Amino acid sequence: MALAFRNGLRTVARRLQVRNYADAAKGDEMALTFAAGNKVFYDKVVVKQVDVPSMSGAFGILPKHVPTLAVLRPGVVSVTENDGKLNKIFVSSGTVTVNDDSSVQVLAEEAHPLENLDRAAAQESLNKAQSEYSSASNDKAKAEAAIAVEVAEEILKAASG
Amino acid sequence: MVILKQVQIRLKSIKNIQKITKTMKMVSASKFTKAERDLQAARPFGYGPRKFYQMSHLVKGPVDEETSDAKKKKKKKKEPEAEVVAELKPEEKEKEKKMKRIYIAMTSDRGLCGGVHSGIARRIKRDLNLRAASGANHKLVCVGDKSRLILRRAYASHMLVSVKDIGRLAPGFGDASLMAAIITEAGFSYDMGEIFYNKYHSPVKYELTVIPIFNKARVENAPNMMAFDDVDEDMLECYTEWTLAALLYYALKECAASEQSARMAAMDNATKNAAEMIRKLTLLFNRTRQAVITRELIEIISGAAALK
Repeated sequence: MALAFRNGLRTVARRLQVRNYADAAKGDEMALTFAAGNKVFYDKVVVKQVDVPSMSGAFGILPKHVPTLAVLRPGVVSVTENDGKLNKIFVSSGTVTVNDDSSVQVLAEEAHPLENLDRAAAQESLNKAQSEYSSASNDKAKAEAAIAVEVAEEILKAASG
Repeated sequence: MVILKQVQIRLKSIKNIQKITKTMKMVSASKFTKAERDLQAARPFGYGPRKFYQMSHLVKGPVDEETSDAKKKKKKKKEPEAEVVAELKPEEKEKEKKMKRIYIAMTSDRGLCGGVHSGIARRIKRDLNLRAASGANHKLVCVGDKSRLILRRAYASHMLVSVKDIGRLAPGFGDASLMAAIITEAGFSYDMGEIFYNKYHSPVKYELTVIPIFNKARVENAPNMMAFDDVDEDMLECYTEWTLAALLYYALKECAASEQSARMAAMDNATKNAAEMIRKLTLLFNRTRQAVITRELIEIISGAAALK
């Protein structure tokens, strides 16, 4: 809870910051490339903000973010486009790269817009993954099942809003 | 003298071959449209890591080749070659010898598509010979049966793993991550890796391209890594492994598209050649038949004349 609050604060702070930047200098735009195995969502499109769930916690990316690398965990990536439209996309896994020319690359294994997620199917796959987890015999199968459970849980969370 | 029956049999077999090549062309045409569509979706997977390599100065010069025209690329392609030939000073040679390299050849199981596979194998052979590679430090990963068949005799000691059953179905991300996992689990810690693949440009043009891959240590010590935020070890390891999968996926897609386009062209040519042969053989067949008829007529007429 506290973490979410802090994240919220940080995003607000950054949003304020970016307004300053935008007033001061034109041209610090953030070109987002967002692709998954099934579809390209953005191809070097200039956007306002991207929020990604990473292994070390969710973070928001605004123009002039410090260059970084991160690995995605299952969750919702939200993209605020230049006209203020919020686009929420569920990703299963992947990487985020922020380069020092403010370009951002989000590569995901699988990604789908939130409205395409089906709650019932997610519940079903969660049950299946859980039963696989409990019946897994070796460590590897157990780890694989644990990942499946995590993904299914996140889909369920995302689908139920 | 030509025997009529033989010509007839040959004509028939060539007609059948033409039917087969025509069908193969149509099959690969439909596969090609799908591969090309898929490729559009996979391009960012190649662009992302390349951009990162460029930004962290792991690779010198622009890595993004999508905008440069063919001429520029040719020049660019020549430069590294010259480097390899010219810059082998003794101490560098020593360093080069110690360097552990991995070569990933992107091909498929299917042939009949021109020089797509042999081009890749030839380039790897040349690089291996140029670097005077020893089997212990330079390992080959063969994706698809074709490159394995070409390389395995001469470079048996270099073989690390090979992947089969590529090219029957369109490659998916699952295939790529499985391959990445196999390569990682093979237990060969390389300093530098290269993926050799055919970059698709247009239905009539593809080009052999080499994409570098780097392991965790190399990324950590990249010249411009200081510019990047602190990343913990596990994360970096995950990142490099995932990047390998992404690059493999991209290369697979590029390869699939160029292979299908090359097969389409090859089969089109084969169909045309068959048509040409059929034309010639039909002519020969008709002439021979006419000759047989004429000869028989002469025999009958001269026989009748002798009886008079």
